[in-house]
Amino acid sequence: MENSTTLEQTYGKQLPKVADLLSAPLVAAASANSFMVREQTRFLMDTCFVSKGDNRYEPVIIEMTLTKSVISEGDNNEVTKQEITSTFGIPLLTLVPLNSLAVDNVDIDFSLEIVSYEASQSSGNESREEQAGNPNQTTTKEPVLTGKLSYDSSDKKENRSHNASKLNVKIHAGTIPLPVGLTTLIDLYVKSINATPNN
Amino acid sequence: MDSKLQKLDCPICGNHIFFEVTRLLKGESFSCPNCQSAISLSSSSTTTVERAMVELEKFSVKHNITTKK
Repeated sequence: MENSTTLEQTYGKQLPKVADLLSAPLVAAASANSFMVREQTRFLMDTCFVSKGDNRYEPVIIEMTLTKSVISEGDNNEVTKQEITSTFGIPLLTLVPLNSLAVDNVDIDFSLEIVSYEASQSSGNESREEQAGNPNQTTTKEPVLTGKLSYDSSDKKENRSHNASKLNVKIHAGTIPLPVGLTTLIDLYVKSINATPNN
Repeated sequence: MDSKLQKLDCPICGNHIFFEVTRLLKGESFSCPNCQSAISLSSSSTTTVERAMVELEKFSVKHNITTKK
């Protein structure tokens, strides 16, 4: 720990834990995805549904026209082609071309010079010796690595300083399939469409 | 985004009818490949769909959502 204190003084900041370095970009990506899902849900509820109070929502229904040709035979054995028009209602939800954008890949690349290791107790303060006398007590010690970001030894750039540190996070976002719950809802609506003949 | 083909089950035979909302809004109709029935948007609903598409466009611009063609 003495070593890390010296490094802290040198770098003027707290040295990062490996777990923090790994989790920070992942947490950021998960937060971004969560934000997008919330926004999409808000858009759906505002645009495709009408609030009826008491947390009850009804879908906005769009009227569609269905035209079908029917061949009929008249009294004089005359064949006529007739167009029959019907209307049917479908929820607006099934018409709007929704897309889901989300972070689908996160690449984290860094080299770390380990400067300290400690095993912290996750619960209780019993030492290993105290727990040894009690076989029912499980030892829950978690290793914590602390380090400083270091340069990549394979990086042959001449202008690279030996103190240069590097943490590369590559994030790729793309359109992903709609959530299963939403597609199920859309399928349910689509499958229950029935045409009603116009009078 | 709106160029994406969507599908509806034909109310007559249940086959998929593929359509584009932007073309529906222009008054075009789409035929079922099986029974040749055609679907189109009723004029009474055009405004509602147009408004929804404008909102969707705003949402896409705000969140920079584009679909690769």
